[in-house]
Amino acid sequence: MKLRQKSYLWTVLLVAAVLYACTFGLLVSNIRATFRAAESRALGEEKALALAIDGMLERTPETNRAAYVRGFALYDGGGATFALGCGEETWAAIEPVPPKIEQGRARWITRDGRTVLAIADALSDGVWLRYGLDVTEELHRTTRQAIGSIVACTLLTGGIAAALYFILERVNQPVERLAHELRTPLTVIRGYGELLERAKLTPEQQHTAASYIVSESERLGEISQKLLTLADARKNVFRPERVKLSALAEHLRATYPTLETEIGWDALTADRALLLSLLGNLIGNAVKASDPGVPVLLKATPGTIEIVDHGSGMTAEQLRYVNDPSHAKNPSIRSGLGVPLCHEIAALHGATLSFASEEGKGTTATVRFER
Amino acid sequence: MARILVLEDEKAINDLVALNLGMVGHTAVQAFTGREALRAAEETPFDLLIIDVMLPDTDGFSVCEKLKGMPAIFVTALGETSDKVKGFECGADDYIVKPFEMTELLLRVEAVLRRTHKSESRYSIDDLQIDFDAKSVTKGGVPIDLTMQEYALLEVLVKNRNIALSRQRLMREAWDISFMGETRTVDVHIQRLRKKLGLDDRIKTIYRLGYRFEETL
Repeated sequence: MKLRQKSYLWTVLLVAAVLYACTFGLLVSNIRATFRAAESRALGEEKALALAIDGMLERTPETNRAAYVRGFALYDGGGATFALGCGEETWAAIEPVPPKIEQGRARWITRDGRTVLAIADALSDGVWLRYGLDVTEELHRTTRQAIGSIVACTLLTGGIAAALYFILERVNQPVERLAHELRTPLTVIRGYGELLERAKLTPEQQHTAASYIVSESERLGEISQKLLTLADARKNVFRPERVKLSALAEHLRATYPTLETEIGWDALTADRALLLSLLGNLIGNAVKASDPGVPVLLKATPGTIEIVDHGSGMTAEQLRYVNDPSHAKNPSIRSGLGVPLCHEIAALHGATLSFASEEGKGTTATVRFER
Repeated sequence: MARILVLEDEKAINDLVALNLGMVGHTAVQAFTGREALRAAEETPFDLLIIDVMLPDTDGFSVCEKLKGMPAIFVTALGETSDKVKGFECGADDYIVKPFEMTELLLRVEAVLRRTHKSESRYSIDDLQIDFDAKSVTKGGVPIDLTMQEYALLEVLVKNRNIALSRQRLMREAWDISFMGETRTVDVHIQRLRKKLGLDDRIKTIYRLGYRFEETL
């Protein structure tokens, strides 16, 4: 397994462990608090009920007791029920009658799918009180909460894992691309160097070998330059200034002789060097796609800069890639660092970069600035 | 003399591989897209395909699959094991990762050609005749007696003709000795070869590098 995959897995596991531990801790204390609250409510209500009944019984003649306390059957306990009686006789009861249990602490009793917190109490003169608080709803609520928390926790872990994966992929992508991109010039320089060193070449072959070495070294230089720009863009080295588009166009025309310009936008706020790199990249690609000598158009209208060529155009797959390089998986699309860099620079300016293309007809790259 | 297809979209690398193959006496046919390669292979089959995995119109694996039956070596910037497996699955004979040494590629080419019996079986220059199958050498029709070491050295030099090989490389390829250090035995055997076969002009000493068998003087 690769180091990156390993550290990724460990990070996700760690995040999951911390999340689940926290959730479980909270759940346990939450359940305990619920139980304790139910118990103290039951105990308090039972005590109050017992005191009230006791007071009533004291003021009542012994013969009439059953009739007097019957009034308590109207008692509305909000889920609480009770039964009152003496010996075998039941004087008053609210359905469902609490279960018969031994006297003492509060008990949790489950019967017919309902859970009741039951308390048995003995009042004066052999009068007994059975109190029951139905806590089924509360239990269900707690269970629902627990399930909800675990589901949320799992979703959150999944979300974090996915986000992390996405970030790692994005961060590593230009680096991987660069490694690939470096191999071609390295192979060429090494190969022709070896050939010059070891083979007996004709003067023409020697010239070819030397010029390949020079041009591929230049390519290495370009890659390094792109990488530096990319690093700058990533570090947000962003120095916005007022950039006059007509001056910029003139600069670009000097580099690209076949460039035609239509400037209908006076000036914009941008980082001059980065914007130049963005447009230069796009124009360079357009020129490469066009037949030699065929002009490429740079068109600026307020809020939008377009680069239009009538070159070879792109296939649907290539178009998908240049519009969103972060989702490309196919290594056979070799466009190097240029396009991802362009997207980064555009994003840095709060602009979007998009391409429209038709195979054999040409490509239009559009940089749309937010106004 | 094998007919070899070089399928690589980078012109610089394609030229390089073709040039090297030409040096040692092969005929290299250059193709820059999968389509070109398939068209060229339809006309005349190749003894060997050298294929880059990343191509503008398709990937090397599918080209290799379509040309099954022709031995293939993959050249690629991908070093991933999964790609190696994929390469071998679709019938590749070998795999080489960029950046690579040209002599390394030539040796692998030779190894595949030998396996598929497409390797050259005889070579002649001036009045010298080498029969690689019989491992025998004649000069002006007269058999020359060479030791096994001398013959192996000659074969490596001739198969990599026009390209200089270091003493270490010669030892490794001719005698399968891969330790570094004492390489004077190579010099001794080269002297004997030159004397026995009259190859003073053909086997050139390349300063600070090694030896080269030169076809054109």
